[in-house]
Amino acid sequence: MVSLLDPLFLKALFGLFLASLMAPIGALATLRGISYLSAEVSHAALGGASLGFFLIYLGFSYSNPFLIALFFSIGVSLLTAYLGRISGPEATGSAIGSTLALSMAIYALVRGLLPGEIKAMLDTYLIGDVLLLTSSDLVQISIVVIISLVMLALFYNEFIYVCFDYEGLETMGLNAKLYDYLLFALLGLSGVIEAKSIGAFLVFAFMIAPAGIAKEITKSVSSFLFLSFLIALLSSIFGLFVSILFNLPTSGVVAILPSSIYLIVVLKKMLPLEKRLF
Amino acid sequence: MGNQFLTKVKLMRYEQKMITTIQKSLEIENLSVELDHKLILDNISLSLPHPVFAAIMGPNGAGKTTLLKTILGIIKPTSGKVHLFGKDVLGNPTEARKLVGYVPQRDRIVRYVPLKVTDVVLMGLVSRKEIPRIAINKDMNLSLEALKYVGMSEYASELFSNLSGGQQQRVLIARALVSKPKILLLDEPFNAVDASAQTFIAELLNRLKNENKISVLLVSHDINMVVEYIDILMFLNKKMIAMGKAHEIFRDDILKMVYGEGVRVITEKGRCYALTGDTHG
Ligand SMILES: Nc1ncnc2c1ncn2[C@@H]1O[C@H](COP(=O)(O)OP(=O)(O)OP(=O)(O)O)[C@@H](O)[C@H]1O
Ligand SMILES: [Mg+2]
Repeated sequence: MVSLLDPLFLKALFGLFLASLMAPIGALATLRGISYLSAEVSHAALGGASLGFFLIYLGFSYSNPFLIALFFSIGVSLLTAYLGRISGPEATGSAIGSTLALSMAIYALVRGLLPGEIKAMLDTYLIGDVLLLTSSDLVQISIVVIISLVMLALFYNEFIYVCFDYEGLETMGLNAKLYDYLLFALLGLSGVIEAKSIGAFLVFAFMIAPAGIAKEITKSVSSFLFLSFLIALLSSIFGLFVSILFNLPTSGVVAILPSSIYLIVVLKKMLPLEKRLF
Repeated sequence: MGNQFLTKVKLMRYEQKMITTIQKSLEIENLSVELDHKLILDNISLSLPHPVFAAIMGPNGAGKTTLLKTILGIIKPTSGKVHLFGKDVLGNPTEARKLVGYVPQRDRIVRYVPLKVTDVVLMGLVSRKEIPRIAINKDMNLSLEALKYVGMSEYASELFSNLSGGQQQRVLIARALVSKPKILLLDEPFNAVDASAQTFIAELLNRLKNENKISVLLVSHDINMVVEYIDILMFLNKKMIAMGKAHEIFRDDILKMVYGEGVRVITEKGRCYALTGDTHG
């Protein structure tokens, strides 16, 4: 049983806070019609991390899996943007699918070649454990989170406009293409944060489900983004407490809550009005 | 003496009129556009005075949207020239774009972005700024003014996505007007808009030309609701098929050339209506 003032617990709390701060970027991806990409980029980060660990295994001790994961997920995100651009917006889905397959293939291939202890380190990028985050992990994640939020704050209007009316934006003399790519790059940054903090496997709970819930109850873009953050944060903290109380795997419990709320909210919409309980 | 003065005033008025009629809003010379190695626009030339109410009519896939985007400098033509108020669009799109307000085909707009009506109009100002692109008080006032002009003030804080088709169209016109353009380009402004809203928009555009001296160029597959206001009507189907005063070219034989044999023309109270059976999904 972990005490509530235990540094382990505080670090986990901070890790969840950082992961939740990326939920608005997942919400932005929803507005851009590419919510699945926010899940995909964290799998790309996993593929990148596996290359990083592989280099360590080969004896390149300077290899930094986090950094390689970072560049890999940004790269894959930009590649998806490019593929979607040349083959048309309808093809973005297939572009996401194929880059996802590539990232997972790299992971599967490399993982098989790694010895047990490195394999275990790599696997935290797949199913993370916030209770195992070290101070230096948190510093790395914080830096990327700060960069992401600064980008979001600086180009907030541009990102929203690109989502709303890309063609209209071009006619107003704004470089819509540039901001679209920046939006994809931002999503790439979120991928590595989610993979490192909670694991690629559970990214839906932070990047997609909160936005899905928030979308049903908000009436403005800013409240939509903020609520996504709040839902991700509260549900993950609740999950952390429950997991500690009942000694359950934290990540699993953390992910269950937003996913099930999302399902309830969506299923509720399918009921006729008079049969809804709330 | 008094007479002489009057003659002079008349002469000055006449000269002024000459100058305004000489000014060209849009000039296109031998414009051809290829997309994906396919010829979409074939040697288009046209010249519009200012202010003018012009309409380009043509069936689906005729290249209407492509033409508008080329005028805006977004699509690069394979050959030809485009000038807006004497400014070369292809050489200096930034300068030319300042003179244009664009109202896109409404179905290109993503409806699940929960933007308020004022935010949509503000976009017309904010996106034209340098970094940091932030709205100031003055922008807000201008946006409210533009909304008032299109009769949408009371919806200012509504969600854009909750409005009807006609109301959305009016908001998009306000967004195009807020930057005070000299010419307004509209892509299918009557699409999925009910009849009364169509009339409202048609009258609004006519008012823009007459009272605010803003030229209007719209493209549509159906222009019945604006026929009475149009100075120049053009028929486009990859090529410029006909151009002239509406009552001159809104004719059975020309329409058949543009739309094929399926079209029917009805003449009623001196006005022609084309039943094209050509609609957007
Ligand atoms: N980016 C593109 N690449 C290749 N072909 C294109 C592209 N955009 C449009 N086209 C083709 O150009 C032709 C003209 O398209 P355009 O959208 O200009 O027609 P339109 O007159 O506006 O039709 P609609 O009434 O359906 O809006 C169509 O055949 C279309 O398939
Ligand atoms: Mg079109």
